[in-house]
Amino acid sequence: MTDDRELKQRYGKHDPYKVPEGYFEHFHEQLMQSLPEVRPEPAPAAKVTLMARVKPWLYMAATFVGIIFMVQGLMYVQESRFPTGETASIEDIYTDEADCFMSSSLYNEYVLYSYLTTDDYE
Amino acid sequence: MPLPHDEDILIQQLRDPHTRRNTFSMLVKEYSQPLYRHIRRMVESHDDTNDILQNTFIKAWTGLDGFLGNAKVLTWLYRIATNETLTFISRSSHCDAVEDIEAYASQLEADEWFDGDRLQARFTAAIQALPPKQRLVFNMKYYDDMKYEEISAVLGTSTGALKASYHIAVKKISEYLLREN
Repeated sequence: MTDDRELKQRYGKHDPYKVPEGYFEHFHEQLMQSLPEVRPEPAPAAKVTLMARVKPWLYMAATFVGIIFMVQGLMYVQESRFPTGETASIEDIYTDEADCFMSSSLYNEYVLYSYLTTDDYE
Repeated sequence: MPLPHDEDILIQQLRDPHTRRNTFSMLVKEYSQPLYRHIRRMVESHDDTNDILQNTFIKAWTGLDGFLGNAKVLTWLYRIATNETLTFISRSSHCDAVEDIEAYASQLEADEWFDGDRLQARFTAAIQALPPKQRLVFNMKYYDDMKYEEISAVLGTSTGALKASYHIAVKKISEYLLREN
């Protein structure tokens, strides 16, 4: 007898457990009162990636590095013009700027000589 | 307002915050009895059944947002109830499979909450002697007339395995009752 038909014929499908009277009505009421309020889920916060968090610091570091390179570049130019240990002599200045000044100005050596030797200018 | 028969409409109403509570209330009214029977046949005690049934509906209510609608609502509720029941059985010692069927049948007969004669008590005791999962399959097929596909959706077991399990369960019960007669 492995067919369930025979079991059903003999024992039926009657549920053998009693339920307290009015249980289901009471259960429904009690359950609905005990249900928590389900609030709509808040929109998930935008996920902050590691890159986004580090970015401002990277920008700042890049700015500093840029400034350091700029300063070093300026110092290099300065050094190539006036190598360390050497100082500009008056002759250097004379041969460059002073000579240039003298040639472009209205004053020349003659005027200067006249100024120094003439009494009118005293 | 009756519970909609169309599953899509039912799921839509359960998702809508404005209709959710009313629809769920109707769901409780409609399905608390079959779920109660399903649990009670496994754990037998009314109080334990009441606790498990409450947990089932509360879990369903709080998990509504996670229900994707890839199964029928009733199947989903059966699945929660079954998991809750099996968890309860695994935690409590008094729900172990019955060893002495005759002694258990006598105990049932004396129980005021048992509604049946000696024949019925022996049949019930023979079912309680089955291992929990086999008992589940037997109850769902025998009492609830569920199709193997529906049981498969609840238990996550293949229909072939369920057929074999039911066949073995019927054989065990029949052999026991035949032998004792």
